[in-house]
Order: sequence, then C-alpha cells, then structure tokens
Amino acid sequence: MKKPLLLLFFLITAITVLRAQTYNEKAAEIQKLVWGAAGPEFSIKDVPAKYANESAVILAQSYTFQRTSNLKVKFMIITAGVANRVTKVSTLHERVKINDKSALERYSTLEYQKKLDKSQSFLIAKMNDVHNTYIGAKIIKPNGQESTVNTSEEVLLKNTGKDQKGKLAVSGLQVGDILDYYICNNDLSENSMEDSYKKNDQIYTLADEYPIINYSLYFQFNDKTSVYYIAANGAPQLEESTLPNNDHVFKMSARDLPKYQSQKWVSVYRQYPYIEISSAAKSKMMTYNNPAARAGGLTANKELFQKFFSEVDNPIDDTPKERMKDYFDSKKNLKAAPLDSSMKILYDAWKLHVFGNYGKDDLEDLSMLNYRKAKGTIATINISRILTDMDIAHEVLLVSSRDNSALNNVYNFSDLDALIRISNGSKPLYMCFDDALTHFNEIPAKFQGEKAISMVPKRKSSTKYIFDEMDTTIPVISADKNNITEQLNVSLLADMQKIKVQRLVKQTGYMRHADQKNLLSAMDIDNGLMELVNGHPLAKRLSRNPDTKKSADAFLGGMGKSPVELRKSFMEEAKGQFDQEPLQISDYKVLNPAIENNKPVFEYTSTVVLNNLVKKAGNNYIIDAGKLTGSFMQLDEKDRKRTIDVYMPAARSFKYTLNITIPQGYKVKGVEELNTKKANKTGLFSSAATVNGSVLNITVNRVYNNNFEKAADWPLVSELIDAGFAFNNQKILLEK
Amino acid sequence: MMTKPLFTFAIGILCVHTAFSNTADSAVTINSAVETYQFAQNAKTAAIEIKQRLTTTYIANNFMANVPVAESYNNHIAINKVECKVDGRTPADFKPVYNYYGSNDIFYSDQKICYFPVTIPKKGGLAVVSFDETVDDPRYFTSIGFSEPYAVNQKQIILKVPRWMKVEFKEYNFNGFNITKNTQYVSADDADIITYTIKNLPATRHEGNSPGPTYLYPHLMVLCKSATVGGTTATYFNTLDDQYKWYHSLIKNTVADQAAITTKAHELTAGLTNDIDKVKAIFYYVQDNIRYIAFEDGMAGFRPENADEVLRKKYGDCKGMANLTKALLTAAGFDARLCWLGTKHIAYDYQTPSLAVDNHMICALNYKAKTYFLDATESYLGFDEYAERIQGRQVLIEDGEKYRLARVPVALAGQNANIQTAHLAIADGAITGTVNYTWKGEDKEEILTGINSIKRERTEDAMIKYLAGDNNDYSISNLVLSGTSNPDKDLTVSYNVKTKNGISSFGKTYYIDLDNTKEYMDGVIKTDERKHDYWFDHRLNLSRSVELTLPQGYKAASLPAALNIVNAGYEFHIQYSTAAGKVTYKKSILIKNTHLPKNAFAQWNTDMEQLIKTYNDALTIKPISE
Repeated sequence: MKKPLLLLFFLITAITVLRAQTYNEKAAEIQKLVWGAAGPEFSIKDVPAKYANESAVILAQSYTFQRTSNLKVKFMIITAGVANRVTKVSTLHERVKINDKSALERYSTLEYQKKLDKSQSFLIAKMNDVHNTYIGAKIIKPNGQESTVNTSEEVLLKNTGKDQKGKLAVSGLQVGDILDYYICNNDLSENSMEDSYKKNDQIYTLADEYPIINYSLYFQFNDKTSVYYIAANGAPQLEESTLPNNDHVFKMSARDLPKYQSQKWVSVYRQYPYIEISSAAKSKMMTYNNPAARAGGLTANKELFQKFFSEVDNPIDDTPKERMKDYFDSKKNLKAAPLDSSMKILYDAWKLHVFGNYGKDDLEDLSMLNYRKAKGTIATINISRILTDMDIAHEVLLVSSRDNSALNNVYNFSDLDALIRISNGSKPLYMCFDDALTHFNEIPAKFQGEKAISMVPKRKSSTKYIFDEMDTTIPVISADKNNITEQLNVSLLADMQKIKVQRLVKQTGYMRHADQKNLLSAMDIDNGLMELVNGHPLAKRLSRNPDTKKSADAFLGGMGKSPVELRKSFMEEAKGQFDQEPLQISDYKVLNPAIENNKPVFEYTSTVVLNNLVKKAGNNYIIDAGKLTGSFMQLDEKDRKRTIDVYMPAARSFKYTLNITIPQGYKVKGVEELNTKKANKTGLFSSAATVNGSVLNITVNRVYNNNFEKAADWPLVSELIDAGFAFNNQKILLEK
Repeated sequence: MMTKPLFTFAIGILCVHTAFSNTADSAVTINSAVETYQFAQNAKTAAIEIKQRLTTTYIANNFMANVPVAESYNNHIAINKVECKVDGRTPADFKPVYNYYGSNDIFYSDQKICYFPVTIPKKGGLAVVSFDETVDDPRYFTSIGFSEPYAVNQKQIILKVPRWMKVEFKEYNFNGFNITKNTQYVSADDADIITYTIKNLPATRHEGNSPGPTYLYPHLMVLCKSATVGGTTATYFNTLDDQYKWYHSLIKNTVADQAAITTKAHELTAGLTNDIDKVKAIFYYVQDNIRYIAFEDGMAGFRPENADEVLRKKYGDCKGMANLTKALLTAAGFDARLCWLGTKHIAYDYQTPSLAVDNHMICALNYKAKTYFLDATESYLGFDEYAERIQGRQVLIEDGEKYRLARVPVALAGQNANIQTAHLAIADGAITGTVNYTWKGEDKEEILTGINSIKRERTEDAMIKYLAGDNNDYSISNLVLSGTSNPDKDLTVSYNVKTKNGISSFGKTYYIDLDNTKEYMDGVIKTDERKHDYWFDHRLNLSRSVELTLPQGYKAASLPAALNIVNAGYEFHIQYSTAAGKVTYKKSILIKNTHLPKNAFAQWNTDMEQLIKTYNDALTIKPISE
C-alpha cells in the first residue's frame, strides 16, 4: 500500500473509532427501538380466563430479523479481493405473565453470548466477524407499576477480550409479575463460508412451552440477498412485500397458539406447523466454491444431488468394486454369480470400506463406534456410478427420513437421504447406506412407506449424468420380519421368593438393531464385516491408514469388550426388559451376531435371577406371570384422546413363550385368565396358556401391523395396548 | 451457600463423578506424586505466601489413556506455571485452558479451572504434570488432600515451615491407610521439613448419600495461626477470636437503605399483635419471595449482600437471605443475629478456627431466653423446624465485638412425618376406598419442592403419579391437596382410589396386598460395591394404617406374620389384625439415626430381607363357608 493510501486507511479507521458507539450507547439505542416500536400487543396486561391455570402465558412474542448483504473490496498487499459483508440484527421480544415458581425459575435468569469477535487479520486486511448481544427487561407488577431491570447487574461467565458470556439474574421478579424482555443479536460477518442457507437456517415452530396469545414474525432482507422459506404442516404462508428501498419483507402474525403437548409416536417435522427460512448473498461468486450455499427446497437440492454425480468434481471411489472383484477372484466367477450374490458382496465391501475404517478421533470414545452412521446420499451417488459402470440396471431413490420433514418440505441437502433399488425381476434388491449392521436388501425403518423420487441414472459423460424421474413409494416391511421371539424358562429358587429366568432371544429386522449395537463389541462387528468379503485384518487396515497407523494398538486393545463391560451390557439389557436390576446374571452370550444377512437373526441368551415377582399367601405363592414378558406400555388418560396421526417406529411383532416350572407339591390356578385375544386391523394381542405336566406354557403374541396409523384408528391401537397392559397385571397362584 | 473455603478440596471430589473414571479398569494410575508446600515472605509486599509445587506422574493402564487434568484456582490462589510431559516430551497440542468454573448449583463463582486433556498413547507410558502455585494469604490455605481420583502408588507431601511461621497440621482420616510421617529440622533455613509418605492409596469414589469428603479421605487441615518476621507479627486465625474478628468486620454496614427495610418490616407485621406471628410473617416472606442463588465472588463469598439490595433484587445467597431476615426482624424490634456454621457435609467445628469450618449462614433470633434459628434457604420448612443438614451443628453467633457458640437444636422425633390412613373395601374385583396423607417437616418440604418445580397445570397429574408410585393400575379421583401455601399447616392430601394392583382372586379366594408404598423394597445395600457409610437424607417417621372392610360373608383366612425390628438406628414394625369383618394393617418405619455406618450394613441387609419378605406376604380372605 502506498503512503497516501495508508494515510487514508488510518484516517478512516480513526474516524470509525471516533464515531463508534460504546456498547452501552448501542444498548440504550436498541432498548429505545425495541420498546418504543413495540405493537399494542406488548401493552397487554390481562390473561384470558382460559389460561388462568397455566404456569405462564406468553402475552406477546415477536421475532424480527433484518439482514443486509453487500460486497466490499478488501485490499491485501498486492492484491485485492471482494468480501461478502453481512449484517444481521435479530430480536426476540417476549412479554410473559409468570404464574408459578416453575415459570419464575425458567425466566429469572438470562444467559447470552455478550460479545464474540472472531475477526481475522491478513496482513493489512481484516475479515470482520463480530457478534454482540444486547438485552433488556422490565417488570410490570400486578398493580401496574413498571420497573426496568438493571442489566449492568450481569456477571460475566467468560471474559476474555474477544469473548464475553453474560448471565443476568432478573432482579425484582416475582410470581404474578409480567416480564417484558428482549434479546437482540447483532452480527457483522465477512466470512463467506458462514453465509449459506444451511448456516443461516432458522425454524419457527408455531407452538411453544406455554400458550402464546400474540405471535409475529418479521424478516427484512436487502435486494442483494437471496431468500427461501417454506411453511410446513399447515403453517400460514408469509406475507411478502417490498419496501421503497427495495428491501424485501416477509411477515406473519397469529393469535392463540397452543402450547406444545408431548404425545407418543409423533414425527415433529411432519405434524406440527413450522416456518423454515434462510438467506444467503445473491452473488454468484459466493456459490462458486460452495454449490450448496443457496440450495433451498426439494427441487434445488435434487438438482444438487444430480450434479454431485460429476466424476470430475467427485471422482468415483472404486474400492468396494475392487474388493468385490478380489472376492470373486476372477471376472468369470463374478459374471457367473447371481445378481443378488454379487450385489451383496459389493454392498458388504462398501460397509467394510466405510465402517472398517477408523479415524484418530474415534479413540476419544470407542464405545461410540457401533453407533456411526454413513452419509446415505454420498454413498448412493458413489455406488450408483459403480453400478452404472457395471451396467447394472437400478434406480436411485431420493427420500426424506420419517424422523425428518416430508419430502416436499425438504429444505437443505442434509434433509435428503437416498438409497438404491436394483432391478431384479419381481424382487428388486435394495442397498441402503445407514449403519454397519444394516443388511444388504434391508430397508431401514426410517424410510419404509415413504414417498420417494425414483431416478434412473444414465451416464452421458464424466461430468454429466441424466436421470429419468418418476414418483414411487418405498415398501413397508411386514410386522413378521421385524420380530422379537423370546423363550423364557422360568423356575422358582429354593427360597420360593426369587425367580430364575433362562432367556433365549431372537430378533430380526428393525427389532435387532438396538440390542446388536449394545451387546456386540466394535471388534465383533469389525470381524463380521471383514469376514463378509474376506477383507484385510483390522491390524493391516489400521496400519495402512495414516490417521490410525500410530494408534493401531489402541484400537486393537480397546475395540473389544472386557468381561466387565460385556456383563454390564447384558445387565443393562435385562434391566430394560424387566424394569428391575436382576440380582444375578449368568450364562450370557451372543449366539449369532447377525452381521451376515444370510444369517439374519440376532440371537443371544442370558440367565437372570429376579426379585419381587413372587408373593407368599399362607402356604401358597402368587407369581406375577404377566410381568415376565417385561413391561408393556400403559396409556394415561391424556394419551387416549388423539387428533394427530400415529408414527410408530415400524410394523413389528413380538412372541414370548414362557415355560414356568410348577414346583412339586403345588398346582397352578388362574390359567384360564391368561387366555385372551384382541385383534383388529391395526394388529393383535393374544395370550394362551396350558398346563403340560409340571410346566405351565404361556404363549404371548403382540403385533402392530403398520408403521403408521391414522388418528381415527388410535382407539384400535389403544385396544391392543390396553390388552397388553392387562396381561402385564395377570398373576397365577401356586396352591399347595 | 457459602461453600468457598471448602472449594479447593471439594473440587477434586466433584471431578470424580463428572470427569474421571476410578473404576477397577481405570485408564491410569498415579505412579507417584510429590507435593511441596513452602511458607515464604513476599519480598515486595512482605505478605506471607505459600508456594506450592504439585507434580503428578500418571501411568497408562491402556492404550490411548485419557486424563482430563483440572486444577482450580481463584483470586487468592494463582497458578504460576503448568508443565506437562508425555513420555518425556511436551505434547504438541498442550494448551491449558483457563476458565470460570460453572455448575448448575452455582449462579456465579470466581473459582476458575485450569484444564487440559492429557493422552498417553502407549500402555505403560508416563505423563508428568506439574503446577507451580502461590497462595497469597495463609487464611486461604486450609487443607491438603491426599487422595486422588485415581489410585496412587506413592505420594509425598512435603511441608517446609520456617520456625517464624506458627501453623498446625491436623491429621484427619489416617486410620487404615499406609501413611508415614517424618520431621526434620534444617538449621540453615531455621525450618522444619515435614514429610508425609503415602503408599497404595485407593482412588476417591463418589457414592450417593455419602458423608462429605472431609469424613472419608486422609487429609491435613492447615491451621495458620501467625507469622513473625523481622519483628513484625501477622496474626491469621490463631484463635476463634481472630476468625470472628475478621468475619465481624465483613458484616458491618450491610444495610444501606434502612428506610426500605423498616417500611417492609412494618408492612409485613402490620395488624399482627403476637410476636411469634410477626417473626413468622418476616421469615416466611423471605422464604417465599427471595430466590436462592449461589453467588461466590471474591469477598462476596464471605460478605453478605446489603439487606435492602436483596429485598430489591428478590434474590440472594444464604448470606444475603440471612442478612435480610436479620435486618427485617431487627427493624421489627427483635434481637436477631447473623450466624455462621458448617453443614453436616463438613467434619469440622469451631474448635479449629479456619475458613474450612463453615459453608453456610443463617439468622438467629433471641426471644424470651430462647434462640431460634431461621434458615430461609429452606423454602418449605416452618418456623422452629430444622433441616437435617444443620441439626446439631455448631453455630458461631455474632454478638458485637464478641461471639457466642451454640448448637442448632436436634429436631424432635415428631418434626418429620409421613402418615397414611386408608379405609378400603373390595368391589368388582378391585380395592376401592379413601386414602389420606399427612406430611410434616422435611417430608413436607420434599413434596412441596417437587410440586413447585413443575408447572402448576401439571401439579395434579404429578401428584397422582407420585401417590401411585410403582403401582401401574392405581386410579385416583377426587384428589384434594391442602396446606401447600401455609407453612404452619401440615401438607395433606385425600383421594378416592380404585386399584387392581393389590388384589388377586383365584376361585372365591382373594389375596390382598394392603401396602401400596413399600418403602425400601430396593433397600438392600450392595456391600461388595458400597465403600462409604450411608447417610439418610433426614430422619423418617413414617406410618401406614389401612383398614379393610371384608366383603359380606368373608373372613381372614391367613394373616401375614408380624414384623418387629428395633435397634438403635431404626425400627420397622408391621402388624395385621382382624376383628368384626375388618382387617387392619399397621406399619411404622422410623429412621432415628441418619448415619448408617459400614459396620452396620450386614445387620441392615438382614433386616431388609425380613422387611421385603413381609412385604411379599399377602393377606388371604375366603368365604366364611370355606
């Protein structure tokens, strides 16, 4: 920089410094703005009678957001660049009536990131990234007396020059008061990596912890900002307008928003109204290195997904294919193999490639290895290109998980998932890239029954694939394939107080995943994955990976379960099953890990001794036979009324076979009451009991036919739940 | 709560259950540790300081063993230097983080943490961590703990005490540990070198309902009395007089706006003619309207906030609440004093003057030759009722330039109560009837704390769930809860019940369980796991009285056997009786001594088995004809 320019730089800086407001001046200005410009709803003092018994009532809640994007030239030593300078001011303003001590506790403290300066200097240039939060609060007493809370009574939980975290105990606040407070965040950022729809994403669910009488959203963007929003699940569309300065405004207001009430089996992003909105700079330059920066909505993200097929931008990772070739040893063998065999090996090779690879960071908590998830979209793109190269006819299915928003409400790329359907006559084959324990041709429960976009890829060039698209629905796997079958051999110990239960548990489909992850060690899973495709031993894989080379011993030493850990895992499983910690556990082991989909049933066994299931009555004994299956769900009164549909985890079934040894000298009573059956279109609950010699056999079946039920059918589901619960309370008498 | 003096010691314990693993398969063992403490005069300020060097060598028991190292410091303890070497080299990413200490229980504390993770890559590898620290005032040098969150093979505590320094090291909990002591006089320095050597020290272990760490682990209480250097003597806490003098200086002028206090006191007592009613009005006002928050900032860890500020802010810590209580009572014409005390968590009393002795402040009221203690941090205990944590504890009461020592009364057996009476019958195969509960004292406080922590529209649901307990088919209707807002009244509840949980019928015979609460069903202590004594939350005075009207034409065919267990610490009594178409079930459980030592566990477990066996014995009723 030449001298005159340097002088100018210092002059501008000096003027800026001279003109810069202090934090307190800015805080005072914001307070004037927020409370001065508040609408009439922020003067309300009375709570409608219908809310009289609520812990707190939000009389008014508003969220305002203003964003300006501008490109700004940044001078370096010999070059200059353009920075995207974004200023954001967001204010949450809330007026809340405090009705009890629980709400007083909730609102009596405000915590905030007061200041955070992440600006970076590069020689003479500086990339600003500054955050400031300003808060204000006033209290309105029941007699109308109003007082402003002294925010300088805050304490700083963190106080370095660039990072201040504040905490304020709201002074003078009591039950019966109205608290009118705001939190105003001011951000200035020239870090373009932080400016994308994904990073700026904001979701407003139109329901809160407390009822809201007046609710409003207001967003204002300058014309250099790109904006995308969705109004999902019945949320109203935002009202759009343009201001004289060309700023775009999006707003809405609503009255009487109900409080959120938790219910069993819901999918929040499918069933509760919400607004999702985000923004990013319009400039094309900002998407040059980040094509996803302004991908908002299903269409944009689908196009982005298709764009990622480019082999130039994203080279194909052929490792799974090479492993498959090695497995079959020769092209001839591979060609001769049935399609389902070769595809299984390709899929299993992908699993070993992804889940048999580790990073140094994994050492921080090896117990989490079993819970790793793959990036389904990325894996699908890679395997689809391999299949295309192999001329294997297939479709790519673009889908959104049942735990996430509906497909038509997809906002960001990360909301999307994908899987592959391979043409195979009337029995298509599925490849789903989820976790290490998902089998070839197993569809994770989170995708079952979901609408999807089917895309048949065709390679035009290394940079271009085209797709034939159509709508499709992913099948629901029937209840019998998501099954737990449990055999329990039950006997009383000599003290006639404790019960010994020998268990043999078999689990399939969706029902096996949780216990597999808990009971198997990471080493068990790695061994299984390796054996599926004759892969390299773990030690070799670790030593070949630069990230794990030096820490191979730690992985090899830590991925197994010690005897103490194994016992703990089985103990936890039994505790969950019987709602009590067994007095003893023994003979526990996994019989089949079910990593191989040719042996898909996860099997384990254990023997436990349980207390508190036997009562003495004179010379007789009463056994809580119904509790031996483990606790079934109980519906509260509030659960019985339902207006929203039922998202169950999967269609699923359970079968328990109890063989209870009748002690010598006793006969069993109450057998007839153990025979029950309730069946309807949503499923079944049945139990049947017979005495065979000295053994009482009880067979219990519990089936939920579907993974989704309409709210209107909830009474039918409730019937089955009630029948299960009633069985839970059944007892038998051992009469001397 | 005024927890500051114990903080340094307590923080080590805190880490045990938050960050460290100390199980048998712990990632590391402390191979050796050397801690040196040296009294010295600061050449610039002439103040006496304590220079500390703490060096710990960890040995890895596994590959990639992680040790989260944390050392606390504050305005009086500075960390001058930190070093870390793993297998002889300073790790490339070694960067200690200095931050405020935060916890859910403390609103704000000036206590800070120097934290850094250490990873030892190889099994058998060594990490050596050392801290150089300075304590700038001997009053804040209160204890030296020996135990660590990991097992220790060998540790040395070296104390270098010049003869000009008068200090006493009081040994606690040495029994059962391999600790030796050696004292040497070094004439060149005119100082004594005291060396404690500890071998094979087990790791600290967090267990619920345990005594505080000062009861459990070997440590030295440091009593810095005075220093005479260059003919000048600085006195610290040579006697309790010295400690009180310092405390007293901190509580002077703690009302800035007397008018506000007087106005409030008059407002609260207006129309009341009885003195005790006036006291209650003030005490209950502070309990109900001042939110307790723990605020520990420098001297504010010892000096109460001005009473008028607490009144204005409507929040305060124990000192602030005690000070407001005192100020309001004084303004209303009563003789009220501030007092300091250590809760039961602390093993010491004022025989050993030290900042480590106390962690709490309450208000004392002298009225008609009796002293009442008012602790407004106990939000739901009535006047003249005392929480277990302060019962029997020694208190230091302000008395102008002097002080008075007294003890908080040990509450009478009737202070706490948990009483159920029920009148039940059998209808349609279910047990039906009315149930009444009365809760007093700390039992009442527990329930009111629970009720007030949940949203009021859910109070009834929560209460029903609480009353149903482990019974999954226990239907409650017509619930009436009273006494929730009057501290002088018992908390009561009455309701109608219909339940099938406690009844089974086979043929015409009914098997009935009349106890729906069954305390201590899981009360057996795992003696192979439990290391520490068990301390109950408070004394228990529980009774159940259930009267069952038998169906017409029925008789009691079999009554479960009675249970009577009486010993010095507790009593269990269960009795069934029958007369004129009724069966009566009576149970009482008394926890008379809240301390259950380890050597009483075996007897406790035997008694538990008897209790559980009695619980599992059902009443049988049959038609008279059978």
